[in-house]
Amino acid sequence: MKKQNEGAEYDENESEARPDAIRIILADSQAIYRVGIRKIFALEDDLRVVAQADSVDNLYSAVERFPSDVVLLEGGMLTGTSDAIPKVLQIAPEVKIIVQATQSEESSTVELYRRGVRGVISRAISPDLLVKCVRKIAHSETWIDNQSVNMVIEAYRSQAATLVNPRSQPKLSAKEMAIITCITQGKRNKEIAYQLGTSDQVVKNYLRKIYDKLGVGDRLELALYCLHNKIIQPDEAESAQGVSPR
Amino acid sequence: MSGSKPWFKNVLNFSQQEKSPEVRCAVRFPLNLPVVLKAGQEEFSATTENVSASGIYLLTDRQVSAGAQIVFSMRMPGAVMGTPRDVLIRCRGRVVRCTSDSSGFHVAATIDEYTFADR
Repeated sequence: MKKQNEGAEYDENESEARPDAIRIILADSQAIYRVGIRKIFALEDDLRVVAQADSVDNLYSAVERFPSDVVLLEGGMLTGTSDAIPKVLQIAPEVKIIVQATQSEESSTVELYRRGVRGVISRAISPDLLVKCVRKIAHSETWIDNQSVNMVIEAYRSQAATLVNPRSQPKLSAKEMAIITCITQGKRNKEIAYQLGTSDQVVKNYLRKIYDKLGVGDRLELALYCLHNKIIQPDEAESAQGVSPR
Repeated sequence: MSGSKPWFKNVLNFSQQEKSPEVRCAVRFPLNLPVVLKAGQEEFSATTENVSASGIYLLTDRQVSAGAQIVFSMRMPGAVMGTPRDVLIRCRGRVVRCTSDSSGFHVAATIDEYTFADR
């Protein structure tokens, strides 16, 4: 029996699938896709759709409300949102996300993997492959096709060249430089927020932006990048220390 | 302040955590930093030849066994980091391999955990 609640549906009938079945949330703006995929999964006793969502906001609610192993997400729903994937992972860190992309969205494949997606598949994928993909990903494997492998490796090569080439440094704002200086001094986000007169969340947002701009993944890599490229100037270090809180 | 590895680092490893320990896919920075390394009860100095967010390649004057758990500190010069003192990063990791040549012992190790120690 299905229940509906403002664009999200959930299935109360849990008796047909095995108790250890892979729990799936379907997130797709197009009902026909949700119906079709649900029918495909209904044929497999180790796959169980626990909820459906037709928008990103409803997806957040579904992920929060229903324990799940895999989220199957339509790529088109990510249009206009920059942090949907990280937000889903923040709500449910253990969930594994598969994005169904159309041809035009495949160029963002690298970014999808970077943000935490485990698999990027075509909207035109065959039912058998879709089932196989869900099973693999539920068991902590990554699903990536040959073309995407090339794209990811090429992105990695470009990133490596950019990171170690001082001449290709992206432009950083004064606030970003101040935060970088604080990070390399070993300060925690709360300390930085206090020093710069802002909030912890704002610092986190800046940090994410800095990481993306510089192509680094964490504080250590940021410190190594700064050291190698000598990007911190003495006057920036002084102004980062001298800013007084509100 | 301690750090954990972002998931993206694992894309090229196609796994999480228990992958072949010899694979380091994070970018390697060719930096020569002084390191104090502790393996078992022994503590000695080394110099990095390159460092990434997930591993380190060191030159030292003594052999370290592959598989050994190590604790080490890297010192980043304050003058370059914009700090009044050198920045010390304390790391915990594991030796992946140790080879030798005329210049000494080259040790490759993972960085499993790190903390910014000097503020």
